[in-house]
Amino acid sequence: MGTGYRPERMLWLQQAIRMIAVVLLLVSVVSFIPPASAQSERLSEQERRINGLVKTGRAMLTNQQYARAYKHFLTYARQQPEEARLYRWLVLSSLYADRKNALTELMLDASEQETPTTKLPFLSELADYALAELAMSDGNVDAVDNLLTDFSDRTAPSPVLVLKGQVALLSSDFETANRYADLAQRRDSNDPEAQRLAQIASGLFAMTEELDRVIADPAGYNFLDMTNSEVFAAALLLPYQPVVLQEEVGTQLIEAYLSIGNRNQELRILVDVYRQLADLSNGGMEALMTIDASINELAALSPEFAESASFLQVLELIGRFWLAVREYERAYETFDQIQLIQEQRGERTAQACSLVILGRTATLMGRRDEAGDFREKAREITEAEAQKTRDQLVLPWGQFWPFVAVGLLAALTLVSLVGSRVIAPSLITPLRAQDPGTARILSNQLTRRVWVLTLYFVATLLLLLAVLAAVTLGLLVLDWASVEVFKWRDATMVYGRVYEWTDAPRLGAVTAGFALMSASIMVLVYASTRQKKPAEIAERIDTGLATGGSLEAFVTAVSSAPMTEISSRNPALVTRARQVTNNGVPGWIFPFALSPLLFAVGIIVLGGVLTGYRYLPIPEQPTPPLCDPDTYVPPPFLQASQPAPQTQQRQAPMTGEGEGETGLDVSDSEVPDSAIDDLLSEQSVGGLDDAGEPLDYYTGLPDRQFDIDRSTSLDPNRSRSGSYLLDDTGLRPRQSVPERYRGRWD
Amino acid sequence: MNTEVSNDQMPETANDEAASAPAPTAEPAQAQMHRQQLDQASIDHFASRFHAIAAEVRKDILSPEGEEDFVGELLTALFARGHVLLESRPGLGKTTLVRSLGAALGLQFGRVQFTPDLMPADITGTTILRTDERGGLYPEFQSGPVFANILLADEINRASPKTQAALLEAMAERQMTVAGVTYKPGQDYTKSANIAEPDTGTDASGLFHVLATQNPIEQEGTYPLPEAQLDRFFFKLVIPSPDDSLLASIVTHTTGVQREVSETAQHVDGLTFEELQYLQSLPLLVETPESALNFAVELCQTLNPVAGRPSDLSTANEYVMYGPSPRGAQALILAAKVRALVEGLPNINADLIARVAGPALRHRVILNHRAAIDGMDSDRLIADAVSHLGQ
Repeated sequence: MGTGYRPERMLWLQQAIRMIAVVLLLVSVVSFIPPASAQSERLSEQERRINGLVKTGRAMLTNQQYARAYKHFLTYARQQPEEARLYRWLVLSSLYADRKNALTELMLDASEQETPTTKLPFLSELADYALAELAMSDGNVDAVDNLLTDFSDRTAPSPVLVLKGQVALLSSDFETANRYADLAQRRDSNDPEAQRLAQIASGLFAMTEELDRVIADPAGYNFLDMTNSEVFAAALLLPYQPVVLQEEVGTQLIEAYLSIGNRNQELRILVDVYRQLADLSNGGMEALMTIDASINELAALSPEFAESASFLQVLELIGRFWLAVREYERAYETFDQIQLIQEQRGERTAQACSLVILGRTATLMGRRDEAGDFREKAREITEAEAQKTRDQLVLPWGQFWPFVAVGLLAALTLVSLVGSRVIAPSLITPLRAQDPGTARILSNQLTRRVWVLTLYFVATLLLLLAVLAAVTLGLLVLDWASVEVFKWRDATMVYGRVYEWTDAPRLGAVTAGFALMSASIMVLVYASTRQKKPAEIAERIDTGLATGGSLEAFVTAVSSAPMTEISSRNPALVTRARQVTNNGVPGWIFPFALSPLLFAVGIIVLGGVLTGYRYLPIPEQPTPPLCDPDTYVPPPFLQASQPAPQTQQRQAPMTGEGEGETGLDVSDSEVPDSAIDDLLSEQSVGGLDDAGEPLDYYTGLPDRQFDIDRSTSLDPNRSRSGSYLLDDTGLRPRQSVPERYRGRWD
Repeated sequence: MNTEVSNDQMPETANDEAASAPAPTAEPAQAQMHRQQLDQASIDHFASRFHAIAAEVRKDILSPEGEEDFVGELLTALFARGHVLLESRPGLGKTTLVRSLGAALGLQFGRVQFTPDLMPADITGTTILRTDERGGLYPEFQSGPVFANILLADEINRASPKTQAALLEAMAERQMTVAGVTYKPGQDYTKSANIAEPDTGTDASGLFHVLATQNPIEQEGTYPLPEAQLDRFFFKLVIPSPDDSLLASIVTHTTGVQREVSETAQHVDGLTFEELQYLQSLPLLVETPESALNFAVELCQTLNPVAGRPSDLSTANEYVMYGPSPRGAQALILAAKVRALVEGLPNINADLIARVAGPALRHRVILNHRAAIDGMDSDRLIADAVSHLGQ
């Protein structure tokens, strides 16, 4: 055949050229795309820059340099008009600096212009967002809604989404609020407002779902589910939500309460707790005391609840709440109750933590000796917990497998006794009909041979394991001695890590059981899957017993002629088959082909090795640091019982400008744990409050909403309609700046 | 290894297996002969008779230790009702072996020295005219040497094919027809005066065994047996040349004082023609297990590559021109059955078959010229095949 034109080859060539062209195109395109690392570098650089700007401005606000902060954010919002976060801080600083009207005018102008100018470089849509934030500060939710209409959920920046979520929250649309919170967090995972919204929205959403379930089936509801920390924590946040929200939940709770009746007393108590939580903002201390009493009543009524982890979680929340509102006596009692329960339950580590908190509480109460005692006790418990015995250190091996193995072997024995049908059914079954005697002997023989083989397998496996165990023991001792005796190294290589695996006798028992079980399964699987013809089985037996093929000849003859004919034709074969079968039955099953002395030595060595593991020295256990529980309480909790700012006598002691009192009240300040021992003899200990008040949990800003008057004069009939303004509720948004702070920097 | 030993020079090293074998009791043997049953007593009886006969033969035959037990193999073929082809160099005792066997069995022994001018009638006999008392002529059949129980066909490859064919027909059919009358050789000649009696159809079987010898070193003027005729021999035994010590023993024992009569092969006590027939019937009762049968078949098939079905053994594919016929497999099984009885077993096994594979198959595996060039012989090939099949 010639080498002329071949269409197939040309087609292939064209495709190859196309592929190469595509590859080249891709390479060229990719080469123009900046590398991902460069992009992320640039992004992170921008991120760092904005973070730096926010941090600087926030520090100004913290230092009460509100006008300076406003100017700072205004300047940089002009420079970075596409950064929504700067707009948010601009609005916030304008509220603090009382520049709200000026900013509103500025943003209205920016919103109306079509394109940004040098004089007014703000983006119109972000100007709308700023206006929405300003409207929110006035409680004008409808205006907020209108201003944010143009923002798409897909492209809106995180602050916009947060604001949308807040609006949804105020409308009791928790699901939508939750969705906006998720979107905002996805857009900017470091946005503290997004985090705040996410926590409140998810908690409230979960709580309303729980309540729906309660209402749907109050009798069948497992009240313990309601005591999970997420739902409870969400309930604790409830008092800090707008009144409209409280009303919503409160209504639901009342409905739940009414529908429950007497069918589920425990649940009723829990609903009481929730209702009291909802009223906490109004009821204050009394509500909290009722909650405490209800929880303890619930525990007394329901042993299941008293023994559950939820009980302690709830008690701890209450205790922290008492701490937050500076009710130290009650906090002391609560944490003392917690540590006693933990002692009874044997939760020593948790008890140590509770003792540490008790110690701190005692310190705050001025009982320094008692605090020292608590700390000492906590330390003792921690050290005792650290020094574990061998039994506590080694892994608790279950003794389940050996029994399973023995059970399987017993089953195998039974099956074998039935007639070895499992082992060699094709041989035994036909033979049983013709010559039951020989079949029975053969069956016994097969059974015993299987047993011998099984035991031999197990014994071999155990011997190998014994050798392995001995070698491992030697290496472990060497590793330990290299540190403790020879001082070659400072720390063992693996001794400390593998010590928990050194319960060798039990490990050996489990392994032996596992080996026995494996052997049983293998035998059964082999017997059931590798079925052979009778002649083949008989041939194997002949080979094993060196019968000269008589058994196979007998089986072949039996399969082809009646027994009577075989007996009359070749009685010698019948006699011999029975004889070799009889002789072939193993007598004493001794799996070791060793001398008794050697076997005894083997047993002693094996026992010695396993016993040796028992006396391995316990590895060094470093004393763990004392428990350092986080007793920080989210700022919202502080608001409930604090007197209104108007009646609060204390003023910010550290203003930096020498303004106000500078005297230090250290009586209620927490002392660092590490310093308590040194300060026990001191009469006055403590530190400084930052600005006299706690910072905002999320933003770190001074929280300025202490003057919220929660004693609402809301008309119930109006609230049902949901058409009132926020101002009507008496609740002011958190951004509202109290009168007393306004103009201080002027 | 053997050599001829004269009756009066009995070797002292004669096998004494007969002494150790249990002496058969005549009465049980007689009782057993009437029922076709293989019980342990009959097996023991067979084994003892076998060993007794072998012991008698070994009085005249010296064989080296560790070599092939050709006496046992000869008897194996005999009890399997087979004919044997003996191959050895001259002077190694083939004739003595056959004569001693006849003496031990108490059977009629005949010998024919084959020559190129030997005619069929010289073997079978012929009808001649005789004169009666009144002077009248009448035809009378003059029997040939074939009318014996054991016939030594010495140097069978020297006779013409026509003569060989006459003998081989008698071997295969165990009968012959002369002048329209059928005769059966191998009858009990101790009971009848006329050794050549026409077949009456009543006695179906006799004891007729041909032990043919073949001289492998002289090829000139010989007529090698065709493969088809070789196949009719049950065994082919090769008697090897003696080593130094054995040759010295042979010379010593055959050149000294004449031995006592008791030191030469004698008729085994009580061994009758009927008992021999009975003993020959026993191997047929031995059981053949499936694995042994499969082994025999696989062995023959391995040594018999044909177009479209090559052998698993590469050397067989390379060197074998013709493999064993079905007679080869039959010979394997029958010979193994005899050996099983000798060893006291009521059944055969693959091991017994492997042990008789050499004499049963070596003349049935015909090698090509490439084997001769490469120095391959049938014995090695058979051993390879046995090894290949895992025995």
